Parts: sequence; structure tokens; C-alpha cells
Amino acid sequence: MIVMDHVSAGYGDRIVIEDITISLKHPFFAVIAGPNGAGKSTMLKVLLGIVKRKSGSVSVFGIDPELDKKSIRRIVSYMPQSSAINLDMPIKVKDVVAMPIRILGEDDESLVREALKIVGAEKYENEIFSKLSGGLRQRVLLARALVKDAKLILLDEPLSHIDSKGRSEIFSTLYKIHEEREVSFLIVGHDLSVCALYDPYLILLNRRIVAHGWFSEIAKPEYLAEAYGSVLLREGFIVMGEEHG
Amino acid sequence: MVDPLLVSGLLSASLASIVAGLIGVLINYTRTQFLAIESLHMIIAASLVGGLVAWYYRALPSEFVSLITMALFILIAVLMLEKGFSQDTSMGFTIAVASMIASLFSYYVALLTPGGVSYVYTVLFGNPFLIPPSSIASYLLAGVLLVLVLLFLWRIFIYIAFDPETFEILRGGVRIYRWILYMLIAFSAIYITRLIGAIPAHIALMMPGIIASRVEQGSSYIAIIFSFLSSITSIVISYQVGIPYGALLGIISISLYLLLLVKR
Repeated sequence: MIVMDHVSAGYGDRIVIEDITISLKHPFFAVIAGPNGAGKSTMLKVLLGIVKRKSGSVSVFGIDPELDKKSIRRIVSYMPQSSAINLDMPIKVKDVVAMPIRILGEDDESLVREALKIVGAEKYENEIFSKLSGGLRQRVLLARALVKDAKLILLDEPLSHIDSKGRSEIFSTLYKIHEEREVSFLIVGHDLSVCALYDPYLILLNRRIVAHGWFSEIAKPEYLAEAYGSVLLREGFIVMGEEHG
Repeated sequence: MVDPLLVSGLLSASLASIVAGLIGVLINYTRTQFLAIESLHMIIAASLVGGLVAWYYRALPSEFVSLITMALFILIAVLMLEKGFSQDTSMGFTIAVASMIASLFSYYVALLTPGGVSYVYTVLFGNPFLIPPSSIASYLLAGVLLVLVLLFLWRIFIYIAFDPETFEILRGGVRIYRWILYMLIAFSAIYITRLIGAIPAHIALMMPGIIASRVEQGSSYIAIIFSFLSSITSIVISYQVGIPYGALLGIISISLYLLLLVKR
């Protein structure tokens, strides 16, 4: 179970997320959506314990991530936004994917291959990461998040730089892993169109939680307008204020 | 019978090149070129301060004074960082302070101390042929220790350079490991400077990584092999022809890099 109770957090004096209260029962498949600067990444980082709370409490499977980072490391896997990574680094794909297990003291090439196969990048194992296209790099980073045997996987914009066909394939794969392995996923994303088929739990965030519930109940113009600032209903399509799905 | 001067030169250049090749790759990957240059400037200043103070106060060993001076420079940089100045500003300011002290003390070392000019030259440009054989064993031991530590922590440094946020989540201690890396760069810079001089050390630290990334992205082996071969070649030619080792090292490195640029 993941519980956030009246959590506020930010950087320095700046509050980025305010009074967040939510609880998610394991295993869950949830998406956090909202405009740029809404605090989506910050929310993930609070769950990891790397951004300190200003107020409130957090429990990740009964663990406070700020107090027991070691336990969190074992059960939570994370994929950062690609902008946080040194993309010019001359490091091989297999070394990128193996990073979580090597740092934890394990090194199993079969796990690396399996993770790469899940994302459809197994033939790039020995390539230099920086030489891959944006979409392939994203798949490799996703493989890195999947290589470890984690209970909770936090993904920050995993589908960026990937074409629409790839997005559908990957989202489908993630949902399959969630169902088969009973892994919880918390995904930060902009592309809500890929979610529709799977009806995930949707959290609309804009500094505060605007609405949360099943996608089919929440992905409605009135909630989206409140989250994104503006909504245009045009010929059956919803076009949201900023980046949109 | 091989001339002992040549033997000293080959051994000194070899040791310096292996450490330089290894740390140079890390400097390239971790984008700490500015820090490496800062270290060299601090070493120049610290060596000159040590030389002059030890000449005036015989009881004080020059290495001890040099180390204290280095520590003070590092303290300036750290205090500025803690006060919120950017890394570039902190390092740039420290380089300016070190250069000011180097200018001042080099003048007085050259003017007032016996053999002062020679001492200043050796600090700046080294003299690998004159490293005594008795010291080579110590340098070998120190070099082996440095290389072992670098290899032991290599993967950690690479992963932190690639994705510090995820490393912090997975293991923590990014800040501490970064400080260890900075200390290793400083120790390596001191080591290389002692063997081949501070100015050639600039070339030794920068060029292997740059050339390796031009040849094959990601190849640490190419950097170390290049560093070693260029050093040995430079020493042999220097011995034969009488051109300074540092100049030859620069000529070989720069020529090869320009050749690679033209070839591409």
C-alpha cells in the first residue's frame, strides 16, 4: 500500500506539491497527469525519499522513504526523465541496464537480456547508449527500470520520444507485467490516449490533486480543464491547455 | 649498458602516463577538466610556497608546507561553494589566487634561493631524467595504489557521471563519491607533476581522453595505450635530440588529434 497523507514538498523555499492525500492499494496501475510544473516528478521523488517533505507523512509498503532509504531501494525501481541523464556518456547499453543490479551487488546478464527483450531492444545490447535514437534510449532506460525485481516501479515520462505505435506496445507490456507479476506501477505521463484501453487509476495533478479515480471516470473535460487550465472540445477530440494526449 | 638517465626517464614517463591515461579518461567522462586544471595551478603555487618557506625555515619540510598550502586553496574553493557560488566561479577564483601566489613566489624563489631558477623550472616543466632511482620505487608503489583505487571505484564514478539521481536512489552517497573523485584527481595531478612537471601534466591529463573519444567512443584502453606510447616516444626522442619532453608530448598528441580530425 502507498499512502501520502497531507504531503507538501518542494525545493528550498518553493512549494511544488501541496496537501497531497492519496492511498493506492497494491498492486495498482496508476498514471499521474498534469501540466508542466505541476509537481508530477516531485511526487515520485517524495515517494523515493530524495525530496524531503515540508509536511505530512508518506508510507511505501509500511516504510517511510525518508527514514529507511535502504529498504526502499530494494523494493522500488525508478526511471528518471531522460533530461536528467548524461546522454553523451560513452557507456554500453548492457551496462546501463545492469546499473541497478550491479549497484545492489548482483550481476546477472540473463536479467539484462530479459529486460531488453521486454522493451524490444535486445539487439542493441552492445551498442553505445549515446549513439541510439531518442526512442531507443528511452526503451533502454525503461529496461533498466524493469531489470530489478521490484514491488513498485516509478516511471517518469517513459513514453517521451517514442512514436505512437511504440507507446501502445510499451504501455501494453507494462500493463501485462503489472498483471502477471503483481507489480505496482506509478507512471508520470502526458499521453492519456494510450491509457484509455487499460482504464488505469488516474491522478490529475496541478500542485494539488485536482481529481483522482479510474480513468473512465476522471478523464472528462471538467476535470481536465481544472488540471490543465483550458480545454477545447473540437470534433470529438479533447485538446488540453498544454501538452496533451 | 643503458644510460641511467634514460632508464629514469622511461620509468618516470611510464608511471606518469599510466596514471594520467586512467584519470584522464575519468576526467573526460565526468567533465571535470576545469577541476583538473585548477589542481595543477594549485600544485604549482603550493610547490613554490613550499620551496621558499622551506629554504627560510629549514626545519619545515617543503612537502609539508606544500600540502598545507594545497589544503588552504581547497578550503577557499569549498567555502565559496558552501556560500552558494557556482562551481565555475569557485574554481576560477581559486585558480586566480593560486596563479597570483605562483607569480609572486616563483619570482622570489628564483631571486633569493640557490638553484631557485632551476627549482622553478622543475616545478613547471619537470625533469623525468633526473628522478633518482631510489625515488622510483616509492613512485611505483604510489602509482600502483592510485591505479588500484581508481579501478576499484571506476564503475561507481561512471554510473554517477551517467545518472547521479538514480545512483543516489539506488545507493546514495553521490556527494561523498564526488569528493573522493576530486581528491583522486588532485592526488593524481600531484603524482604526475612530481614526475613530469605541471605544464606537461596538462597535456598528459587532457589529451588521452580526447583522442580516445575521437577514435572510439567509450574506449578507456585506447586512452591508456595512447598515453603510454606517446610518453615513451617523447622520452626517447627527448633523450636523443634534446627537445624538452613536455614539448614533444604536446607535439605528438596535438598532431595525432589534428590527423584524426582531418581523417574524419
